[in-house]
Amino acid sequence: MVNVMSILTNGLSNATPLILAALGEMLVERSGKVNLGVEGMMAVGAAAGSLAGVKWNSLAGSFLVGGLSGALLSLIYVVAVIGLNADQIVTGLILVFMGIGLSELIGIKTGGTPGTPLFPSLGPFDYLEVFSIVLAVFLWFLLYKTWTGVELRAIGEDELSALERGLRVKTLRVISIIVGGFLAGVAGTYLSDSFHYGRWYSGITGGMGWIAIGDVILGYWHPFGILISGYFTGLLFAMKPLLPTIGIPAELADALPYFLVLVALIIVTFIYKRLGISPPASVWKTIR
Amino acid sequence: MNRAQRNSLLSLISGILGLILIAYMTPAGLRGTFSTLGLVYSRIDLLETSLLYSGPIIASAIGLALAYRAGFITIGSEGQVLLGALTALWLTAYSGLHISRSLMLPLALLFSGLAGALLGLISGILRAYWDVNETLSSLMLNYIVLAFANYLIAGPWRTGPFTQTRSVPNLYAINKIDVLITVLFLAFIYEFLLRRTKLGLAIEALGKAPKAAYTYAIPVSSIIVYVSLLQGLTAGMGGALMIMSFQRNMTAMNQSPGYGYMGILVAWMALISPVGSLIAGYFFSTLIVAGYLLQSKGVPFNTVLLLQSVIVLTFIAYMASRRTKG
Amino acid sequence: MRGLSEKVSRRDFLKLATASVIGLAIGLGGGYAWGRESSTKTATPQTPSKTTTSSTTSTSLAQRKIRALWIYVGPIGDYGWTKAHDDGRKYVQNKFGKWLVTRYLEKVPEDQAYSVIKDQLETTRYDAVFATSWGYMNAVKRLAEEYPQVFFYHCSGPWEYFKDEKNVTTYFAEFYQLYFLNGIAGGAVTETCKVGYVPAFLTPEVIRHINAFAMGSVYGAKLMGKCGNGEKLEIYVTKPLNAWFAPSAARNAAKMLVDNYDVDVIAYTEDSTSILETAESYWDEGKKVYSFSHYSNMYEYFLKKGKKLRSHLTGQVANWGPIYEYLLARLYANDAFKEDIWARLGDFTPIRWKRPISESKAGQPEGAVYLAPLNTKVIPSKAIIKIKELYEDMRELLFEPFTGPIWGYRIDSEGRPQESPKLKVPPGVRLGRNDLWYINWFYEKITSLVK
Repeated sequence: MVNVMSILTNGLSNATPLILAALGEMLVERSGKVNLGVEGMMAVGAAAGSLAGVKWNSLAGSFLVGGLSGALLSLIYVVAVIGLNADQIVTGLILVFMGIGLSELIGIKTGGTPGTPLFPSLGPFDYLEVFSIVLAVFLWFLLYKTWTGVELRAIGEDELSALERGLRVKTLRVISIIVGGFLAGVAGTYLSDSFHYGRWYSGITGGMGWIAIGDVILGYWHPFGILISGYFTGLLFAMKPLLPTIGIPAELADALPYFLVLVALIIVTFIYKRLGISPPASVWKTIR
Repeated sequence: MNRAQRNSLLSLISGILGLILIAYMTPAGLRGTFSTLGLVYSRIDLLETSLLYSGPIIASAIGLALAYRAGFITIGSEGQVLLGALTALWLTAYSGLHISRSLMLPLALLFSGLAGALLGLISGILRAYWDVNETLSSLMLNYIVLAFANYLIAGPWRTGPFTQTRSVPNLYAINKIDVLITVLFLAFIYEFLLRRTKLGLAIEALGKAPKAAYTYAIPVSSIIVYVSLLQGLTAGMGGALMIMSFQRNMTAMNQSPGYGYMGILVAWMALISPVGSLIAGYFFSTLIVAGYLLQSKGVPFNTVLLLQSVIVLTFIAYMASRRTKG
Repeated sequence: MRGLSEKVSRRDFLKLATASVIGLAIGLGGGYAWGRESSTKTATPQTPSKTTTSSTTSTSLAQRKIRALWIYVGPIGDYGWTKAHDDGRKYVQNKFGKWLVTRYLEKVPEDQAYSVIKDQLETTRYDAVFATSWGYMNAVKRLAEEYPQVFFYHCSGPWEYFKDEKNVTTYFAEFYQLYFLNGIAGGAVTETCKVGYVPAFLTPEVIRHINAFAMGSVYGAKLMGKCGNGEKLEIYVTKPLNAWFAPSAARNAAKMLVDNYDVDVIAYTEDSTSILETAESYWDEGKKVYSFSHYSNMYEYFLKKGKKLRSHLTGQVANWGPIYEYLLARLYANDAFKEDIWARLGDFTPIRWKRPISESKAGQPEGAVYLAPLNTKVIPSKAIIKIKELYEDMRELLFEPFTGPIWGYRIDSEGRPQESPKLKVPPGVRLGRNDLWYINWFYEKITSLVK
């Protein structure tokens, strides 16, 4: 007894936070940096967004505050990595731990109270599901059809020659990182507002941020690719409760998205080396 | 005052301000937080308890220090600690092995270490021969191990209706002295390895100038593989220290225990030095004890993680800004 | 960072290290002195009494202070299990404020309970520790042996497990009677003739509740003459969540039941409001799905937040207050002894006699366990009357859900059938304490969704 339609729509709802966070991280990586702190920024976004919803009872306010809190946390990354030249991988990792710790301090202020639930209101879809798709189209347009996009990609491909040609390396990078933080924060708020009636609870992100980073690679740093990879992982989550009914232990199913990302990572690396289809080159230097 | 000095001073000050702000934000307030920290440092028994928690943290930091020196930025210690703990649990509680207490600890350390090393080896081989990024691959492995652990706990290893494994028998439980000796031993072996052996020399060379290392015909791939093995070894042993001292049994987990992640913070805090990890790791585990105590004042436990990460970030920013040119 | 170590000279490092050590020392010393000063000002007079709770009478009652520590497995913000215990704590705190000091620890993982509680007992004097989760059993047993002067109270554990520990009392608020009544409400309102249950674990406690709910829903459908007089009612039990507090997994399980199995009444054992919220969210999509309160009165809670739940049928609520009141009063009077409390309907109420249906308090607070408000808009009045009648009967134990003949099949820890249905309770026989406490079979009409 499988209701395919509901799995497909649930898949999109599960994919939305992944797609949002992954699109943000894609921007960051396109600009030539890697921010591993997505999980932390999502955690803070979930807590702060829920708190704002509880305090003000406004859905828009909840998402705005969630996004801003993510952006605020990414500012730490900006200061440390762009400003002080600290290592980006280490800083990103620290951001994760920081975000998780901070989210608890903010979250306990909500006391688990339901805030502002987000319901499907555009047919079977909610606003953010639609927004994440529109955003992907918009980012595609931005990256491939505008001068800013060309500039951004150039920075990511070759920082030195971009500097020589007088491109706005620092400005664009900082903006991308902050936008990435904002989107991760919004993705976090989506977790509490859409999945849990606006309620925050400890450990709400549960590794979603890391999967989002994996989705960037799975989607090959392309907005539409991320849309597909995000939806694919979302479907996996939607199907998870059904797996025990056909005899697959749910605990092992938990490992599936991570396993797939690992395999994809290997394949992507292989493709890059053999075929020379190139992801952003500066990122590749860092994460290779 | 030049720019580097100004920046480093600024990062120190903002870090300390950050810590004070966090303490102020907790439900215990500034006063409650600091008095609890003071309590930990004024009680011998609490300082001794800290030693227990420091086992897995220091052990994973020791191996990570070696790996980071070689430029192998793995974060797989978390999964390795967990897998090591599972191995030690199997050995002590499920294997049906009956040996003396003094034999069990070395044996458990060996097996857990091997389990951790094998896990580390996956990322190592992927990196060395296929050029796959080790940070991401090791991270994915962490979550795969977590799922595997939950599968064992809920399935084959479950005792009774509740998702709970058997406990490490009292006979095989280890105390703070065992933990202390193990981590001291590991730290000095690794320090020696790094300073007095050819491998250590090659590791340093690889980390500092990867291109030059390649030019001078240092076998980069095999060194990466060795490093990944050595790194996983200590983290796996840390898992044995964890399950045999304070943890004893396992229940289903939402998140992994986090000692391996703390090891990462500790390794950076210790300036990626094995012996330095002893001090930094112990300091962090006193914070864990303080965190447990602060819980009775309504402070969530993860605040400890926040404090630790702010300390490390401050430290890293300080170090980085000292390097910026005038 | 690759060049970090060599760029930092040793002198720099030493300088920084010294500075931070000094800073830390000053901060800690200052903070400690400060905290000390404050604690002497505000805290209660610390009688350095070696009063063991069970024996001594050296301190007079007037001076005696009882310090009690609650250990919670979830956050008090769960509005379920942990919240209910915390309400109980507040109840005794208000009542006995003169001589009672209460503290609590929330979100204590079951496998870390031993270390966490031990750290507390090492640093602070406590007379009583209330461990409120099944999984704290090992920890409590170990600690009870190490701290004989402290009285431990374990919630939901079988007393046999602690039979050698003189300072451990077990207590529990039992719900199977209420689940049976929930089942009647569920069976009476279901339109799809499919009901579901999401269990946290398949412990005997939860299995009891599942069976009672299943038998109740068949009873309810039969009462209303629907679903082939209850014959065609389908009852689905999902895979256990393997966590008491797992809002996300609970939500997914509930969604699966509704989306793929057409279930419209969901009962559950999970410590949050997640499933009730999921049921409510279906109403916004135009689908009628019902669920229940669990441990706390969630209907009232959402009402306070300005949300009138349409999905709320009724539910099981525990008031731990009277139980804690009784236990702590005994402790204060130096009259604590090892006991086992298993509170059911009618326990901890002033008068136990059954009342006529018109005066029944079903759906209102009374005693230690009671029924959450009945949704009279949806539940047919015939069913409401029956619920009230059985509620009153059960208060005097005149009616018992587990009365034979009952057919069932033995299950494993995930709910997979291990045998074909057998007669588990012979006709006319009522299950006793041991059979209920160690129950390991599902009622025959239940379908497990684990393969």
